[in-house]
Amino acid sequence: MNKRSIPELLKQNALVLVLLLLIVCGTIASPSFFTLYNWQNILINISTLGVLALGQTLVMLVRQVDLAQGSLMAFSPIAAISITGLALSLSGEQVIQGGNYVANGMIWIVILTVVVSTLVGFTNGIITVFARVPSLIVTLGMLYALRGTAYILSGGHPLYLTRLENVKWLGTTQVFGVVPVCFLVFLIIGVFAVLVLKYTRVGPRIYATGNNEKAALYSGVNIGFWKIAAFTFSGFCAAVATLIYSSRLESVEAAQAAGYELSSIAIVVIGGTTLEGGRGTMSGTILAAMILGIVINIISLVGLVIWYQTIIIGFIIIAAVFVYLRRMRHRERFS
Amino acid sequence: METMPLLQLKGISKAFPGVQALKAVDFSVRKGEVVSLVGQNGAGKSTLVSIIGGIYSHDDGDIFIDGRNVRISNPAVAEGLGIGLVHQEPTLVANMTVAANVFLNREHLRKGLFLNFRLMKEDTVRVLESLGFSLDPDLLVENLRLVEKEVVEIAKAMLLKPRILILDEVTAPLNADEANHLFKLVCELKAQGMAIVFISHRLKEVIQISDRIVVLRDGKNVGELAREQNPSEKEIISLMLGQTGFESLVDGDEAQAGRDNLLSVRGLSRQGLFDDVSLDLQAAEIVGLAGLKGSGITELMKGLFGALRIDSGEVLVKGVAVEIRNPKDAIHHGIGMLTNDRQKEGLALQRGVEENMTISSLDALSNRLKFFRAGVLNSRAAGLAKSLEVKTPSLKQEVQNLSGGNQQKVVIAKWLLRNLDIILIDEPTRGVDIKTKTEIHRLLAGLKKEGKAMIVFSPEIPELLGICDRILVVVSGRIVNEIKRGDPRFREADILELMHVDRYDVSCEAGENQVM
Repeated sequence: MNKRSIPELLKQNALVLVLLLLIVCGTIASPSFFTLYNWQNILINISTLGVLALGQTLVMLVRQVDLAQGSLMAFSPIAAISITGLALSLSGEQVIQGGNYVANGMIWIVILTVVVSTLVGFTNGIITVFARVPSLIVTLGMLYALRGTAYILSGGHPLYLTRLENVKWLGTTQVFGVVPVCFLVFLIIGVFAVLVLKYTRVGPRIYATGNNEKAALYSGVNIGFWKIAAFTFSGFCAAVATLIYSSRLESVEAAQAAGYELSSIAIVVIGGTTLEGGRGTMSGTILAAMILGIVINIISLVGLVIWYQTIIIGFIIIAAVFVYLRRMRHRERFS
Repeated sequence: METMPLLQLKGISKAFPGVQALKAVDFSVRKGEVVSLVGQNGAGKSTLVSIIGGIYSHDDGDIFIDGRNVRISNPAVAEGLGIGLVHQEPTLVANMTVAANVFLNREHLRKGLFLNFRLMKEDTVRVLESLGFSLDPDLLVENLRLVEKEVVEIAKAMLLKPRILILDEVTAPLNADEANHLFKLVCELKAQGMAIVFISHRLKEVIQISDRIVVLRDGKNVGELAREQNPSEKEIISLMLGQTGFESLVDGDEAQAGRDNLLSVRGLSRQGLFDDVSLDLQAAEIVGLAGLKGSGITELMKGLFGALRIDSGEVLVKGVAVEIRNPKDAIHHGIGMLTNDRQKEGLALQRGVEENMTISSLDALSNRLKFFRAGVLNSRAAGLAKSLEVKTPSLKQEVQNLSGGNQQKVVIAKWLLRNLDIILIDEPTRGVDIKTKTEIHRLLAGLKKEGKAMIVFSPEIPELLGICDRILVVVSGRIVNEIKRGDPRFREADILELMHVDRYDVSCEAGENQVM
């Protein structure tokens, strides 16, 4: 169809190249890098933040931001446990036993976590669109309010999850003994999002809303609806992320996942989605999550203290955005 | 033709904060009729078509389609009623393809779910071909030229086969061939029974293409000319103008020959914006620039002020070539600029009057340790506020609470305080009430007496006629004419005629050989 030059092809698949390069680097740097055990480790580590970043990508594509993701990851399971506890106490069952052991109603807790989290995302969208408060502020407020509520509902101490037989597979099982389930979940949501954005009318409307709100409006696009939809999806992703996270740790506490919203923004930005909205792809986010996971893995394999990770991630973010912006300005100058 | 109008507007009024944009405007268009809307900038043409297109809602009045009273609450409703609107500036999504833009919000689907890319591309190519253009539907809109964007915008409107097509200044970015092509198309559509509303500043093309011409001035109907009346450009212009509202503040011919030029510009160019501009400005002189929206005057001023990079050309201040890379350089060489958007570019809205007046002069008004001399700052600001009659309860009052006219005076005061010799003024009285307008005119005339040199652009020609010694007419980024005070052509009608250049020769009536 289109004849593309090789440099152009390289540019468009830069993230894939970086990923391959990192794998080569890792293999050279440490003999334990290219082992099944290490790869499972990487994939598990990627999943939580990766899912979160998928939600953030959609929000940022409509030119908004969701800072509430991290707090929501603490609030929604704790709220779900509280609601389940309240409901089951009517029938005489105790959900929390021995002070802080969650012993009953696990299936309800899982379902309610998804419902609560998605609803909070929906609410973020509603406030942003109808009260016309910038989402940066709405979700910043939620970041504080949700975290505080999580502390009050949990009493501030960790809640240990027992009787996880039916849900533990999410965090720890490997399909065919090879691929971690949680990574598959990340990949399925990710690929689903890629396909929806590419092959259904959701794509053009999301991109139009984020890239040129006026153009979208003049074409009759319901921009408010798509913004709310993006926040709702982000809430859903936060639910999936916290389920993966909690089923691995087998506990829930009010302090968990603090700062995850920033990590998810970092992944989205490295993946090429811009703060100005309407530019970026889900596949970029998926690749960026893997790149970040591998970078962190290599750093710990070569034995650098964990603090170096943060420094390196910081520079990667700035460098990535520098490259993207330079490419864009370059294009503008010649159009 | 006694048929019922396809679209009829009765008594439409619309107010924006501070402006009554439309006052009881009537308008109608029939099947197979081309009706043009003409008027000066700000006469209300774009507001009127935005109401028809469902972008603004009107305050008062009724809209009828096929005699049925309708409410057009949003663009989707307009679309459903068969109204296609092509906007003055293309509103397209930059990083989507041509096909995706044409089909935005009306995508072809397979099995009710999946985008049918193939069909959308084919239809895009088809619509573009029917417009006589061929464009790769896979190109990103951001990589298109302006003309091509305009074409995509038209294709988007044509896709739904509207019954009423509104073309809001679509010919502005087109060259003669492209515009001719568009007119041929308009004639074909008209023959097929489409109702067409056409807006343009180019009066010759308006006369040739229109069955009727509706003239607006200050948001009111002021006249209507039918093809049978053989309207002339002069007739239309005199309707557009009404009476001129400004007294002349410059007495007689003051052009003093032989004096030194304070500012000389030689061959200033910036690709696509202005081209080979040369002009001279003497002390105690006001030079006016006259031109249509988009003629590049704002950009030219910004170029002189260092706020926009120039490609080539030379600027001399008092005969010495200077390099102006940014506004700081310009100010250093004695050049200040009042931009046309004082709220965004001229003021710190949430700071006080005094702070805004002194912001550009802090260096000059501070002592050797670079501390502000608060007393001097205060007295100078107070003096200017008094002499310019800025109406404010105190010098600490936030500028955003002042009226538009008083805000403008604060911006002028800012440059006066700095004591610059050359002031570039882009629309001195935009959004200012009539009384303050006169005050500002007197103020500029007073500055001229003190020896200041000014370059002024205004969309209102009478304003330029009132204060300028010379008027340069700018068309598409080039100075095409110079008219001195005293020249018999130093009047509005002549200048407007020079601004409204015509490049086309088309008519729908001529049958087969309609386009030459």
